[in-house]
Amino acid sequence: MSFESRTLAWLRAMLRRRTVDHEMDREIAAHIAMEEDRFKRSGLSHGEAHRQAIIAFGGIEQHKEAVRDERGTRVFGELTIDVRYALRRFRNHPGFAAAVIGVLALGIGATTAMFSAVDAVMLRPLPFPRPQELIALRSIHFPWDMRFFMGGPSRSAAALQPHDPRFPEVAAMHDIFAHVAGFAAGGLNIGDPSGPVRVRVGVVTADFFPTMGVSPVQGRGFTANEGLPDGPRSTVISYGLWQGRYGGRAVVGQPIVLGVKSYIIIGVAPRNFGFPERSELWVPLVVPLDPNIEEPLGRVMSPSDVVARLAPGVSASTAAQHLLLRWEQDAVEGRPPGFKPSATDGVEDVRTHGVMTPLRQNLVGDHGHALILLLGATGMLLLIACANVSHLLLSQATGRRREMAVREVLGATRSRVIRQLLVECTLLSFGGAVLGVALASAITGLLTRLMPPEVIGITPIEIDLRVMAFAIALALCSGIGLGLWPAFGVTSAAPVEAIKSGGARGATASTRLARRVLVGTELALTVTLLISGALLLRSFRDVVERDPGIHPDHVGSLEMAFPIATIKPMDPTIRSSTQLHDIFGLEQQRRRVDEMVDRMEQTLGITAAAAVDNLPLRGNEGQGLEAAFSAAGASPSPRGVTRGARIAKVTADYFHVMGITLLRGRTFGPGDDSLAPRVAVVNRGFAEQYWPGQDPIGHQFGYMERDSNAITVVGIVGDVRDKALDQDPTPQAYFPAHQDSPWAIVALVARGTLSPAQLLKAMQRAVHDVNPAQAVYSVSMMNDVIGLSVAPRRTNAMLLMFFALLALVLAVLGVYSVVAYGVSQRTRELGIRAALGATGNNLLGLVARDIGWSALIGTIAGVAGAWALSRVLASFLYSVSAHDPATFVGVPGWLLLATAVATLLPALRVLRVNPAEVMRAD
Amino acid sequence: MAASDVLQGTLDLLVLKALSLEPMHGWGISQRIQQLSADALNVGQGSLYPALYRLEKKGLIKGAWRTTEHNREAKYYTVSAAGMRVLASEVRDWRRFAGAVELIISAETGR
Repeated sequence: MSFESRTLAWLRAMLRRRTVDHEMDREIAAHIAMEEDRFKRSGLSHGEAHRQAIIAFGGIEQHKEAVRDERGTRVFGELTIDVRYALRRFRNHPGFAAAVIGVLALGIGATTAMFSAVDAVMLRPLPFPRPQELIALRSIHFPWDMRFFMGGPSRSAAALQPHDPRFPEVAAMHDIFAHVAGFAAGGLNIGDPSGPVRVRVGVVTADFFPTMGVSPVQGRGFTANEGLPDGPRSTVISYGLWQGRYGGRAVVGQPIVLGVKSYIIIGVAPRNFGFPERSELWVPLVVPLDPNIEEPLGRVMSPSDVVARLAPGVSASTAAQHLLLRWEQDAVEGRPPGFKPSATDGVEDVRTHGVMTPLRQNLVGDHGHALILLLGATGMLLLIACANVSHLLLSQATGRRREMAVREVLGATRSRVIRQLLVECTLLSFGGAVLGVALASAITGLLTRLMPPEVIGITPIEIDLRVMAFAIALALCSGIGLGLWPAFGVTSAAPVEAIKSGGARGATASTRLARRVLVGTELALTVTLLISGALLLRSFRDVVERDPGIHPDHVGSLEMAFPIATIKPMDPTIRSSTQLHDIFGLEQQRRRVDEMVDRMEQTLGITAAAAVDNLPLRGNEGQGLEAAFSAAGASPSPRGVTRGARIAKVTADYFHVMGITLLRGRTFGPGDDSLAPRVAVVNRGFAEQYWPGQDPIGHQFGYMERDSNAITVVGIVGDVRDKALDQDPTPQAYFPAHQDSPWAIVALVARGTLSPAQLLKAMQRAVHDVNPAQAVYSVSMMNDVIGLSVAPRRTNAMLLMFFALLALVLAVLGVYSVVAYGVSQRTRELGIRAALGATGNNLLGLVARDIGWSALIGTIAGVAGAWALSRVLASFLYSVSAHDPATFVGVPGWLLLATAVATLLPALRVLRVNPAEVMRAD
Repeated sequence: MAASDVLQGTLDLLVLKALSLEPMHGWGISQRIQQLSADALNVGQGSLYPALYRLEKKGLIKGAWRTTEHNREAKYYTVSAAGMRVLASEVRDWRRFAGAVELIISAETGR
């Protein structure tokens, strides 16, 4: 009989155990009846015949067991008995069972939840075909289409082109790459009867879908033709958009208005495909770059993300060597002989950091470290939970030594008794796992905030079979690990002795040592967690308390993107930008923004309003352009070092609304229009960079293709931490909106005395009044914008501290129960001591000493652990030393205090011990 | 001479042999073995059942419920084709074994 059919027979036997048993009963009954008939025929009485028949058959139950053995269902039968017995015990000791299950659920739940996040972000393969072939390339340069720049290809524009490999050349390296695609994430408004709807857009080069290994479920992907300037405007929509907006009808070939331009839908992406950043539709990225990509991206900026699929049989390292070679050739091309690239040059950068990384690593970045850190923390929490449960079981087990001994004397084998104890533990830990998984699924929503935005939606956090298997494995390991220890202690080779000694009384030396080790371990782990959590929390507080350079209270903000009328290649006869803007209706947009700002300022309760294209602390939402400048009288920059600054164009009241301090000079006024001389306001960092030690007011500079040194500095303002609160302010320059290029993306800000909800509503109304068709997004108070910018740091710190506090509670409970149990076990001994003249203090000292040393040693070990961990922690800290003395002394101090309280509360019971009563008892 | 217990491991052979003569229920098998061995072998009636189950699990016999001539429900077993093959080879093995034992114990001393 084959293995499968045997397994099947066994399974059938298991499932039909009851029916099979019943059939066996019938068969044996028939046998005995026939034997009885035989005896009756030979003349025996009815009763005697029955008796003889049974004697002839032999022990019926014994034979039945033998048959069950043959079927292999006996162990299972015993297992059911064990399970039933265990459940009965739990019913009789509900407090014990609930405590164990609850504590284990905390540990298993926290660990499972963190594992689900790590699994989603780092372990599960990206949901693309052959994901190991996908790599991200560093710093590939996308050339601009020079036809769009003022005055044609100019020397200054050419100077902006770095000596990096260009995208078309890399894409043609077919010997190492099967496909190469550039992509960027942005947003566009879809025209809709009920008002425009903003959707997330992937701007991708023609080869994007083949690179990702994805083919549209309807229609087709982009062709090379669509990736060229002036190619047809086509779009591929997501499955979700197709179902939601079009109800799954045939859409290929239909027009769709995106922004102000009409596109033709050429395909529908497969279900669940939303790369990059949960894109809802894809439009072509043309190479060389067309400034019109500004529209979905909200910026004039070249995309820097390039993904490549390795050619079949080419390893990542071979491809990297080829590519580095290309970098080195390009770096010296057109340079004087003997040229050595400087440290800041692209080629040096890729030499140190590598030319490529696996796509997942590129998407996840440093986010993975935080997750691993938190997973480690939950692992520690689980260990503490196990230590607590272990102690509970140990206390239980000592009390059960007599029961176990009786069972052994009555004929249960030792392995049978151990198995029963293991069944109990496993059942308890499964209970913990079930509750833990429920707990984990409750907090996955919170965990999504820890995810790098680049992978949200690609690999969602979910409690799937893998995660369940993880939880069950945790439960099994902890169940068996926890159960074996007390099981061997409780069962004994000399059961009779155990019964005679009364079993329960007097903890043996080994279990007492075990308790001390448990307490020490719990405290050590808790100290480590608490110190780490406290350091992260202090960092978070320090970051939040950094002066952002703006006064965000009572300031509301909203953002919108403008459909830019197509910018046509430059007509060489047009020399002024105002002329150009009028032709394409861009002035109208400028007027509309002014009108919105005016309307806001006229609203009762709004004191000032302004527009800005670069809202501070909005993350990578498209603003934050860095530009290189040339400045008159500036100290020359070292060769190869690009000195840049973050620039923003603003309306006059911007500094007032945001509360940015004017240090010297003036801010902008209504006079700074397109006819007036060009002016700028800069921050201190900007002045220091170009004119160190000089008064910047009155100095002139220029940038990009504009006439050099045409812009005069008129004011100097305070630094704004516009990138992130934990990054030092960069050089910043502000330009009046009327003297700069038209708005592509604009944030409106307003300061007022209205409540936040009313303020934001009034702002939206003002926009709507001017243009009902204008879509706005990211409507929020500036305080929330700042809050969002520190959200990952806050979530990390809060979660770690939460785990640490849970650990603290468990550890203190552990200490309490160990001491309480110790006192209750030693009542007799303490009574005798009291009778012999020991004072209350003597007794207290005796009890406290028992735990005191292990607590102290555990705490010191924990401090050492935290010290060792600080290297890992350092990258998460801000302005707090990883060896911060206050934390390293304060936290253990508080913990020891808590331990002392947890020790003294139960220990005080010894003072109430009445010697006479104790002596009389048993 | 008291009836001796069945030699360990030969019970399967005896059961198969008995069943190869005609399909039978458990009680019938025990009676038949006793009868064929002229009451020299005593099959523990209860110990038949583990053997029956073992043989059925191996696919050598098959059981089915039928009514006896005395109008009782009983499970009748029949030998399958595989069972017949196993029986033949077991019988061969047993004869070889018994013959060898016979040779040894009938060897004359002092030779």
